[in-house]
Amino acid sequence: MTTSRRDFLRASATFAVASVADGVVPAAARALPRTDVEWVKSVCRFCGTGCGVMLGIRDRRLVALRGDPEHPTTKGLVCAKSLFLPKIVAAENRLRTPMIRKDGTLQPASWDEAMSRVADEFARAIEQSGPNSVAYYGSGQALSEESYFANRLFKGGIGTNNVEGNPRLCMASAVGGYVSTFGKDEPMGCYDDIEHAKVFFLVGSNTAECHPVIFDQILARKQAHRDVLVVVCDPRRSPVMSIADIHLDPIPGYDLAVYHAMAQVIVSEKRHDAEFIERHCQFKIVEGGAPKNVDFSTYARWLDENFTPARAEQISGVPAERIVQAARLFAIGPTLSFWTMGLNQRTTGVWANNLIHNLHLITGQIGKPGATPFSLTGQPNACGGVRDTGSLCHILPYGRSVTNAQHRGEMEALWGAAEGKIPSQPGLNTIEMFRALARDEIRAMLVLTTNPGQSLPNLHAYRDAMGKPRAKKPFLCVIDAYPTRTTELADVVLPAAMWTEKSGVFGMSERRYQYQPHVCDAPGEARPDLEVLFDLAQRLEARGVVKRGFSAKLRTVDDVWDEMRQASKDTAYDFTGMTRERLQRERGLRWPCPTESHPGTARRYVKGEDPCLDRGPYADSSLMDGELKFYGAPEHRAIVWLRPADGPAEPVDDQYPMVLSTGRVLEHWHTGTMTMEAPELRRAYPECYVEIHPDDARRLGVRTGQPVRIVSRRGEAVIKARVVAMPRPGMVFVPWHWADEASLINYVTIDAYDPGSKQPEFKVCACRLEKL
Amino acid sequence: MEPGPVVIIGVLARVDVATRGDTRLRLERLEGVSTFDLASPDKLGVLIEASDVDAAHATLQQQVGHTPGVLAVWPVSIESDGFEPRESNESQNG
Ligand code: SF4
Repeated sequence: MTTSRRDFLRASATFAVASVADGVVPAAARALPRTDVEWVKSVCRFCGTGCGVMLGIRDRRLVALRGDPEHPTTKGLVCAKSLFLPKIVAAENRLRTPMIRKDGTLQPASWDEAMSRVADEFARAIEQSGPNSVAYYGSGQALSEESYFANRLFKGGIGTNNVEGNPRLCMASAVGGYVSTFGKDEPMGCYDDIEHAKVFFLVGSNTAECHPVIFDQILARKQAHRDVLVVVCDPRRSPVMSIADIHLDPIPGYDLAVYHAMAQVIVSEKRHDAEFIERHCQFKIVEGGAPKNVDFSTYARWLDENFTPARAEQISGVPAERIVQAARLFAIGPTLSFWTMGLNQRTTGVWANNLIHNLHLITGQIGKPGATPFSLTGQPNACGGVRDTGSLCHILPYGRSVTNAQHRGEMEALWGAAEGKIPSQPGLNTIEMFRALARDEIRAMLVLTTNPGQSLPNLHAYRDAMGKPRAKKPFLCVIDAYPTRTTELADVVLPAAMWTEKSGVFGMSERRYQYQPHVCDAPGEARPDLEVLFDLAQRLEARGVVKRGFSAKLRTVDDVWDEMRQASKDTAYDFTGMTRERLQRERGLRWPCPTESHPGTARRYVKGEDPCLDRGPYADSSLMDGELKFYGAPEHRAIVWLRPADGPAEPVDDQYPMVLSTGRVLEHWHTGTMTMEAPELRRAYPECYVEIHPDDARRLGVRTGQPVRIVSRRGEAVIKARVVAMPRPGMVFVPWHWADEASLINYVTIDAYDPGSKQPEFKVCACRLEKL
Repeated sequence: MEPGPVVIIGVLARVDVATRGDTRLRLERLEGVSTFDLASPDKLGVLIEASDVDAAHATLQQQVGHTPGVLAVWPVSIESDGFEPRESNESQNG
């Protein structure tokens, strides 16, 4: 490298920093523009924050990456994980060739050989045991077009609703909460609301480590405005505590009483918004298994009788005066609530979501700048790819349901499927799907871009289901870019192109759909998932288990996108106006976006902002600009639910006296498949650890660095202790990124799931610690 | 001529305005680190130069991020001649 070459790189980096900071670029940087690379806009591959990035490409190789200063919401900031993406994509460990298990080991094969085997196994299962003997398990990391097409193939082509994805493990309760309260899924607010909020309610969300760029925006707002306050509700003192003004630290699993008690304070002190409630809300309680209407005074009385702050303190352990303070702040607002897995990964996850919505509804803290309930997502495309495309066992694209005959008919017509092809009952949810695999009732399963061999709870049962040799062992095909704890169980492994190696759309937390361009070549023989799915569809058609020509009209990723836009037309998601060309040109667009001239929607349900109130089935010309209408809800009134404040599925007892909760660290992501490919990220956290409160450590006689055995009714893990006053006493916390056998904390977690959302309770199970 | 490959990470650092001068001197003393002014006094541009991404990231996390007066660091850009795989046999997955 010559000195001037280095100067070019320095100037380029200087340019990038200055553009993000204040747009004033030093003269030296301006004088040496980096002209050897082509800069292309794209989006980060990791979390649902959806940071805009610029890729520096030379000779179809990625040689630079920067935050995109022109990105409207993330404004050039990125976190350390994304800086490693170029290196992670280029890792030697990438899968490069298809593999078929022969004599117990995975051996290289041609694409034709591997795909023939997959198609034969699926066709045989369908012919012998019917369409419900096969299943698809996808991912919030697949592109929208990939998830949409897989859903189309399985539901409309094969005729099974056994379509699931890993968002069932992370955000199904948020979906259940939005749908049961507002009648429609997905947040109504957006990241712009951060700029307007005065109170942030961070619930069960380690935003600082899991959504760091969002956290920086909250931090910057708090630094600039002294009256901005932050209430944190979390049994663990995670890094978000650095900006907390009030900390509510409930006993894990017993927080629902806290949200009700906040409502009780708000109502009893007359801090509620009576006019908003009168116009936009209704109240319901479930009695005898059916929802029953009640009125506001019944709700107020019910809160007084059951959930005073003093009573909530007895249930949750949170001091009553802190609940009162938090409630008063919440009512002042504008209040923006952010939550993630702490609320969702629970057997009461939907109820917990409902109760946060309750607080926004009774205070009218919704539908105006800075005031909104907002569930953040952990994956880059759980929203756009899985939720919105209906790639779960009970739903169809863009708000449709498999149990609704009209909805099934609409999708059958669009897909060219025979009438009645889509079953009228939901398929198996994730846990039940893997249980059916264990019973050998699912005969063939396709897993795409996810690692259930590490990420499912009660993992022994499901690793056995996927990989334990037995006479009638079901067939498992895994598509991934890297070897994982799931590929090691597969009968066929197919190498996947990733990120810069294929084009498509990611939809992040704030309803923004963003285009990711194909700018690099995939290693070896790796292929984009969509090509593999096209190939599988054609082979299943040739074998007579899918109607001939079913996928004939879709030949490219652009064809699939155009069909998706059609599927969204006149739904609450309508993104007909998001043409491929627009997405390539613009920094993402937020749906609804029904025409090519529509700029996208910042806030839903607000007249003048949400185009669904101007045209289509939800149009209402009687509203004035700024007025709100929850057009998806029954009688257009959002529901304030009187939910029980039940605890977790597995309370502690004498045998298992501690609570285990799992989560993440800044440097790693999910099962570590990608981030463990970067040596420095790996060195930052070389091994798994269990956080133990000093009081518990003293009682157990455990010091930092000593290995402890964490035992539950389901299994155990052996992990080194980190004694730190972060978890509540009586609670331990383990990040779940490490793949080595001793660290697989999901051997210990519980697979009990929320009866509504079917999301497992990763956040709370009973365990005991044994000093080794 | 430079001997080997170079990676440069561009960092936006939030700094304490009151001690900005001292902070800047401390940062400049770190190996491979240089700084430049930005329009806002509470921000400083930092360039970290190293032989590979890992070394540059180590400097960022272990040194720049812990320098007194630095409140937060945002690595917003990475520049190199390429990201060919190295050290790949360290992977623990699969
Ligand atoms: S915050 Fe999330 S989307 Fe943004 S750069 Fe970090 S990992 Fe990527």
